[in-house]
Amino acid sequence: MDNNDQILDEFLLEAGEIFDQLDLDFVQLEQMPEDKKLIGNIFRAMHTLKGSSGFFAFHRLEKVAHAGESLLSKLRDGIFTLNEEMTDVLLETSDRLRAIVDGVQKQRREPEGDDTTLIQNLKFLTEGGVGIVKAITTPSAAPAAPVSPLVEEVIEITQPALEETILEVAAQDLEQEILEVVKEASIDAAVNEAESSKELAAPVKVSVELLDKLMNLVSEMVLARNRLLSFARTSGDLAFNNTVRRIDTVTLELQERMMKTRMQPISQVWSKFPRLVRDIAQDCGKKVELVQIGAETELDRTLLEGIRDPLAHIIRNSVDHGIEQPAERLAKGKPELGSVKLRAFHENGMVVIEIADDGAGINIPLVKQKAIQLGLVTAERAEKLTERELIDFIYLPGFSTKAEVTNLSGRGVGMDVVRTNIQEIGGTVDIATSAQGTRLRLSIPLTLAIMPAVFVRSKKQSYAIPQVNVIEMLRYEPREGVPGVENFYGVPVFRLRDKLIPLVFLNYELKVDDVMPPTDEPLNIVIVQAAGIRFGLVVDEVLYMQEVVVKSVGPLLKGTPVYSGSTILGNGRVALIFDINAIAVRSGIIAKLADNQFEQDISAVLGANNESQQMLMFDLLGLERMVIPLETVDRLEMIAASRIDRRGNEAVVLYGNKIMRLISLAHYVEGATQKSLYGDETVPVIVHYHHDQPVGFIVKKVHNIVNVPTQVVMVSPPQRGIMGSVIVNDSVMSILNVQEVLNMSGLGPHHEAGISGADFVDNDVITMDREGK
Amino acid sequence: MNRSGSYATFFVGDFFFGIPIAIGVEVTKGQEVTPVPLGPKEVAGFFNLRGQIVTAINMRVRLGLPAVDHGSDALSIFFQDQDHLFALLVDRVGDFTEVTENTFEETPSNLDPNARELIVGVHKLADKLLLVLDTHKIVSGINLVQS
Repeated sequence: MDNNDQILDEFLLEAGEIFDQLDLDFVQLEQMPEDKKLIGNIFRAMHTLKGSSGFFAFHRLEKVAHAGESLLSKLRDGIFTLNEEMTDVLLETSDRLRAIVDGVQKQRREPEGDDTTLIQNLKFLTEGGVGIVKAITTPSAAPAAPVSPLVEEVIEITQPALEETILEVAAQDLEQEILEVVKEASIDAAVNEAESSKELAAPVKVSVELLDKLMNLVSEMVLARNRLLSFARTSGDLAFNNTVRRIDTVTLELQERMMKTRMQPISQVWSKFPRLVRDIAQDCGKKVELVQIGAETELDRTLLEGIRDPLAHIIRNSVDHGIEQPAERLAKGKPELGSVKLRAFHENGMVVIEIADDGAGINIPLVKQKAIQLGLVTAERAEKLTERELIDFIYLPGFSTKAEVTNLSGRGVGMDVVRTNIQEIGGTVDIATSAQGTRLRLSIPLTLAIMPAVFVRSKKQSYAIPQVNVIEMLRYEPREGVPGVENFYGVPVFRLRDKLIPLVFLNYELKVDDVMPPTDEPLNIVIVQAAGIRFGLVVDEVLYMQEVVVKSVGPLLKGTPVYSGSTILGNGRVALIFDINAIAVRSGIIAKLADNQFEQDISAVLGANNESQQMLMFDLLGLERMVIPLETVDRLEMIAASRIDRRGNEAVVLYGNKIMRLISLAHYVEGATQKSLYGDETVPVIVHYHHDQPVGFIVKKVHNIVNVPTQVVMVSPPQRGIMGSVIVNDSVMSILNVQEVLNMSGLGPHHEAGISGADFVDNDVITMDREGK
Repeated sequence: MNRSGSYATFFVGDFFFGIPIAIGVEVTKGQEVTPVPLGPKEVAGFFNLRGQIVTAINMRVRLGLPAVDHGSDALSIFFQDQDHLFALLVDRVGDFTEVTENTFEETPSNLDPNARELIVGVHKLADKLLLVLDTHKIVSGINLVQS
């Protein structure tokens, strides 16, 4: 079943529900013709039908619904009061609509037929006419459905209001005839119905509470199963063990299926957007198409609700602000038709939703200007901010670059709410923009109900940290001569691969310890990322990783945001789940970092002309994720250690018709470990031409080319051989300082005669061990 | 709240309380409570009752009485308030008591103010006063932000 079919089915189901409600409403309306609320309901129902049918290009449906809607709107506004004539015609309208929809369900397309009389009658009444042609009942007895003229009647026969219509016809000597035909037709119809509805197995509506209860029971069962498993481990009874295994597999499947019930395709939310885009585009006189990719991607039901409004807002922004007027687009050499592309896919256990438009992009200078105008930043400081930091301003409440507030957007509440909503469901928002368009990337967890977590211990309690926040875990052992935990403007910090990581001591933060623990003891550190910063959470012990079923902590912890939920452990006890964002905020490190110009110290911009640059990633022994600017890389080679010769105290290799000097990078870069080479080993070499002479950097492993931001985090104090660090996909990479390495190895441009690099590195290049092995 | 009917009774300090059993009372013993650092002081912690998370409220703290460590012998009286399960940790559990409207009286004004705000009235039993608790007030009166 393709996507369109699915949408059509959803429409049919929705329409079926609308008709059922219409029937009830009409019946009530007959008793209370003055009830404005009821008329309003009917009006809205017609309106919904009209809207949906427009989407599917069901013109008959659209026209009939439109005519009915016009009459109803006059009734709703109190211009007319409902009379019998109107009721008749409206009922007929409802029946006709249902007949058409039934036709659609059977044939997957709109049935043909003539509605002119009905529409004329509706128009006549809408314009205030009285006394329409009495023929109105006749067309309803011979509706335009092609299957069998009377089938429709059979389907409608349960509708009390229509019974009268039929009886009226019957009064015209048709009674007997109809009854007979009806009998036959009802059999036909039953067969027809059964056949045509095979594909459309009507889903059962189950209350969310029931699902949640079932979910609870299933997780309870998982726990009981866990206990059973531990019994089985110690029991020698084969039959018992087999039974337990069976229960184990069934429970697992039950749990998976149960989770499935909560998952729904994202198309549920997206289906409203084509219309939205069309309407907004029309309002601003633009031409925009909406492309949807990956609409079948499934998300937890509660999360779907959470992304509905943010997505609508982003799309509205894209169409209203992003896409240019057609003339402007043509002038820029873009196609007249603008496009907004929605893409959903899975990545690292998250669902990523991208909203990309090919519009003008965010006007960064304007954002800067506004930020200065609003006093958010001083002019001097604004000049130093990177594009990314400037974009961050648009998340602030009340920030809008629009000069005028339109009814669509520009009130400045938007992006603030978008980010808040997305963060509430555990997601993140990322914006990339250029003159070619803007792309927003929302990363949303698959489900809120179950998530992987890392368990840590604080005193006697275990706590869960959501795995999305965890970058890595490490044990720090103080050693002589290595700086351990240091104090940086009142923040305890720790060096991780030459980057300063602020530390938060969990026991102290939770006030289960009154004093900061001594820092000359081994520390268990969980490096976490939240609220835009990375910090180390010092715990008593890192226990294990496990998928947890998230449960609410109830109303009494509303004032304690440190916990985002709770879960039940295998032993039946409750463990609390941390909200790492809240811990970061609570610990005050964010404020301290901002106050103490941490940024100024650690961020200096190098070559800020581009938003990213390409670098080659490689490893050294003991030092992973190094990068070297791609423009300094000329070739990559694999060189066998047996080919390496010595020239004085330099290692060289014959490279083409030149002699290439080899430099073991591990020698010059702080933190890397050196290793001897053996004869049959081949080593990766990064070739760099220095004054037309090839120089080879020996590394442990060459990875791939990565795009890194131009914002380089300087390390303080400077580390030998490293220019600074960049953050790529949430991991830190150290940039090789090529010039420094060349200088140190005596190849620098400024090195004066007599002072060779060898003077300050005790031994040159690599240690060879050809005889080894 | 109906003034007559069955009450589950319990003791906290010198107080003798009752909760209408219609609220859904259940008594358990020996639950391992997971404490909540930084949480409201009245919240003793959480435990698991058949897959549901229960918030345990320490009635001694709630009433401003000196805390007593009941250890694993802590007794809990459960009730539901607005879709969430709560448990009161109490000193001792009494009998289920049937009372009629005749013995009911409005809250006496000389009652300890900490207890007075939580009760809807008293039943004069033969030997002592049964204080009828308003379970919703027990929960809603807790200051959520720890000072």
